[in-house]
Amino acid sequence: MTPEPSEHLPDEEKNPERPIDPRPGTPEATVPDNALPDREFFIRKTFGQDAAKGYELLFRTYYQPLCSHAARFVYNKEIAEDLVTEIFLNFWKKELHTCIATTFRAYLFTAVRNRCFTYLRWEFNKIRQEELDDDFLSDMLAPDHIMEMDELYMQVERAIHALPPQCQKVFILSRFEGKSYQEIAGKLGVTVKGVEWHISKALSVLRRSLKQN
Amino acid sequence: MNTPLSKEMLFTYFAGQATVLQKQLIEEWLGEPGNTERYFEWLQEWENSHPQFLPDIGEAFKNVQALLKAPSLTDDGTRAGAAGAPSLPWRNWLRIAAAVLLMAGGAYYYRDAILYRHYRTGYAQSRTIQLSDGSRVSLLANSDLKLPRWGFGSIGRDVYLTGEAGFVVTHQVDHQPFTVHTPDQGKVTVLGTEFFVYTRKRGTQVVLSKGKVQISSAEMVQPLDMKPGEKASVASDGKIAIQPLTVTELKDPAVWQEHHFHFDHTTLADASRELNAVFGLEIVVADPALAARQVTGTFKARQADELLSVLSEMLDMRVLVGGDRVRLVPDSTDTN
Repeated sequence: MTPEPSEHLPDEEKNPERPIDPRPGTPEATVPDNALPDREFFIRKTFGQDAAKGYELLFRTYYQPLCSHAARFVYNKEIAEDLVTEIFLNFWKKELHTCIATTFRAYLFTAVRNRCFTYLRWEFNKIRQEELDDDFLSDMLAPDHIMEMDELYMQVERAIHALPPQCQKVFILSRFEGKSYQEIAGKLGVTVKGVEWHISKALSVLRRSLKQN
Repeated sequence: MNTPLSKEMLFTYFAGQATVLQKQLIEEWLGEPGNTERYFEWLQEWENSHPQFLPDIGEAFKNVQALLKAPSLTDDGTRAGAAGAPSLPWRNWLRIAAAVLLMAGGAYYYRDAILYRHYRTGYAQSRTIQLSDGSRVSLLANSDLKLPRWGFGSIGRDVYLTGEAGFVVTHQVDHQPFTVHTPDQGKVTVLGTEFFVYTRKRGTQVVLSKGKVQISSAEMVQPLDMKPGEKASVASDGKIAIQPLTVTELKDPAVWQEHHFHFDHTTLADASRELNAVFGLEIVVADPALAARQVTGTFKARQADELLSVLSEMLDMRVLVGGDRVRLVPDSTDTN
């Protein structure tokens, strides 16, 4: 057995084998007295007192990391924010704070990943809109599903990383930043046709590499 | 029994640098109770310390609050998960909303805001929009382009235009048509081409530069073909007339984008009505003396601001732009 690795951050003094039991009303099991309170627990408690306040806290805690995570899949700032927003809206409309058994964090990250997956599938395979389905199923927390999702964003990153430098630059300015072809052409000193060419090349590389999924 | 795993190893994994053996270890580890939660805890921490970008949380939350304030419909449809229909959460909400749609103007706006993305230009503004299929739209002043947030490019490419815009449309490998819908139930369908659409209260006009276009209206449902160098006009009764562009018009697109105004002792009040019909711009002239001033002459303008700027000099008035309308007021710096 390897010794406990030294952690640099204060909130990692928790016993790694402590099971996390976030159901409302159940006290955290075996939390050492000197551990920082788990944010999740606090959010849940706030939901219990005032749902709107709980929701805002939930949003402010998770919006940014979720957007960042979504961007690894879709490589588009605006779409990433849209997808995450959709998940949050759904959360409120379905009053999920009353019926999620896992941590909100686990739910939100999983829901966002699934949404990104269906978005990419739609974008590159032209799946009809009716097939987009973001219901949260219980086997979404199975290890192989989790790692499959991880593999997806890692694949996207690898594909983009492998693009030739100019192509990569153009692609990121267009897709991630949302800049117009004109702006990109001006910024990089190329023609608009050149920009178009780079982007279609990048998209076909991405499409090919995702087809394997 | 328990697979020990450090946060560092997970971080290495998140960064895409874990070895095959490490990944196997992680998979094992994830199978043990409680570790999934730990995984997400560390994922959140990793994202927070290695963000891809930093969205504006305050703005985003305001946006969410606005979207949620939409006329409330108790979501009794959504929880059960409507039998059979897989759905974006909006869909069930919309089924309930459909009944109240026409009664509460607000409901329509929010449904529209959720399902569609709007690009708008104001007075004297213009912008270029790039669509997800690579097509480009140059939106002129006082115009609105609407397109579906999701599904654009999946079943078809449909956009909705009020105002004036130039289009450069990409040809899709699967020959997916691109359709511009105009408020008078006109439709311009293309495969991949360059064209310009003008659509306001007084009618719709389409000018084709390259490619092939089909145009139809509520009155003429069977689409007509247009060739490059032609202009189609859809009159208010829905009849479509197609005619070739003149030589001057062919040489310079600016020419056919220009609107001609002939004023002969026309009061400013009447001229404003004309501007409203042509540009869709709301103009208010509160001062009766100013409204009665007359203007004579022939003018050419592509956008309202061009004409108003000329008129303001002729008629000693100032143009005040605010919100979605323009006010014309007498110029108080009278040097009489």
